[in-house]
Amino acid sequence: MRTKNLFFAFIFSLFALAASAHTDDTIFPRASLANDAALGAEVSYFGYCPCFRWKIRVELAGGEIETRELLISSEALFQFMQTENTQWHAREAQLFRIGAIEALVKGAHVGIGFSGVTLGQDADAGYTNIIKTGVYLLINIFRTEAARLDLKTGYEFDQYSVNAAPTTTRNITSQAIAFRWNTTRFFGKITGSVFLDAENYSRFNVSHIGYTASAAAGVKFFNVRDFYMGAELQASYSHDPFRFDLGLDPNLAVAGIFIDVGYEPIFRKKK
Amino acid sequence: MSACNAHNFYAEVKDVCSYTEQGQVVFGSTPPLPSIHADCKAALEAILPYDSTWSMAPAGLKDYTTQAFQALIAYPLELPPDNKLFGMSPFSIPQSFLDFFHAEPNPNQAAFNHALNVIQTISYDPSFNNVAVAQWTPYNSVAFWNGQLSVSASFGGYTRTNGVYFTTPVLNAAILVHEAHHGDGYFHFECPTTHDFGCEADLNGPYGHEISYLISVLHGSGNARPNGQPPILSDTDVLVIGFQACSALKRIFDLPADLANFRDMANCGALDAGYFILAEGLTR
Repeated sequence: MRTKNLFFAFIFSLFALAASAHTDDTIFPRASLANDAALGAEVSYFGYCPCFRWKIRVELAGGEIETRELLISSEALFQFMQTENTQWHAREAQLFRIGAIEALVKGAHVGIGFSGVTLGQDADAGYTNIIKTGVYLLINIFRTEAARLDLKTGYEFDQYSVNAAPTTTRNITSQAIAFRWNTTRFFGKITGSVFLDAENYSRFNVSHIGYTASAAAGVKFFNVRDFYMGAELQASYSHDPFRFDLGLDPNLAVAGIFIDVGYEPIFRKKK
Repeated sequence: MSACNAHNFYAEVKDVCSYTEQGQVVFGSTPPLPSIHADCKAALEAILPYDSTWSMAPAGLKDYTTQAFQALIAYPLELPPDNKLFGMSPFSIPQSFLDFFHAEPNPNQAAFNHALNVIQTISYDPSFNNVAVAQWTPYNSVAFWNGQLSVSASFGGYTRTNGVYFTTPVLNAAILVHEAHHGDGYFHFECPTTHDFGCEADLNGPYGHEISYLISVLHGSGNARPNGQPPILSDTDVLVIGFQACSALKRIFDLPADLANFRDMANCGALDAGYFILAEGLTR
């Protein structure tokens, strides 16, 4: 119950921060919008492959709103991902993610974030009825027009069925680092995190620690009037000890190549 | 689960191929002849993509192969209670098999159509007669569009040990399920002790699907029928199905604790039909 109250208090404070921005005279000194769709091919290792998959990804309503004090940003308020087997005979994963957003107090270099609500299924991983959400505190190490580096410490709530079993619930704390860049020609992201299930706090063992790492790098071939087309390479690896207890391989690795199309207008307040 | 561009082969043959026969023990130096019914054989051979290599195949091997596809159609399948395997580890049947099982209105239709939608050619290949029973290979090693099922002479012999044959067609059907799962892009990797490429990390791979299929056959066809008729599967069938599933489990590393213990401790050849009947909770 206390956790739920804390969660709603955090959400309310996020909206309060956003509301305070609306009263600022320089409400739109700068804003940008990011919409992106990608189609590509992935190869993944879930302990039994390599599995080859086609992947569709759509990310809408991302971008930034920046005032004198605050930077509110989102990779995408709406994200959709679906993978299919190579013959398009079976959907392997379908995930929706809504509401991922973060707010940074620029002067203090600290902020808060909400990782959105993720719903869906991932047959390759063995998961159905997925519900995931989380919040985090972030420390901005540096930030420029083109790049930023953040440290994040957060809490994540996961719920899913594994192999159609009754739902499993996990409460996870994590420490993460994220480096992102986006220029007129190049874009990408490198992240890493370590995490621990709350149930393992009292019986801590190094083998209970999970970790992830990911990297993405892309280039925009055509960039005309805020529209672009490009290509992107992605790779990720995760080790989740939770899966071992279920007889699933704890190591998941994915790599893919994608064709991206996007629309990223920048808005500035006219003088 | 979506299914785009998947053909319903099952509908073309189910009416003449939906029969079952109890497996028997046959003593002798040569395998018994396959018992596929003539009308089913004709219907299946019209749609199974056999190539010209079958002119070199040993007598009866093509019929054994056709009979394996007939078994996919005919032997009822049912998931065990709580999706247990060998009566232990609830919900250990993998999500990938459950999705495959429920992909069409009935699981036999799903199994048969899935096999034929990933197998574009069925070949006889004598080069691995003493090496492997069957093999699925992709035509395109990048995207795995289309694949070839190669069958060796070992496929047709029924299970044999020391002059004893066990006529259980569903065993070869389980091999088809295994090979068809390779057509989904799942492959084996190196075993740490033997260093052959015949192991898997968890139950999501072809051996896992083979085991899940065999256990589903036990529950779909191994119980006494409501009309008072005996079970579709004989005790001989239960014995060899259990043995094959137990043997396949030995090739999988990451398992839930109870299954891992069973894998390590079980002597598959020493388990009789009564063990599997009791473990699976079958009503005979």
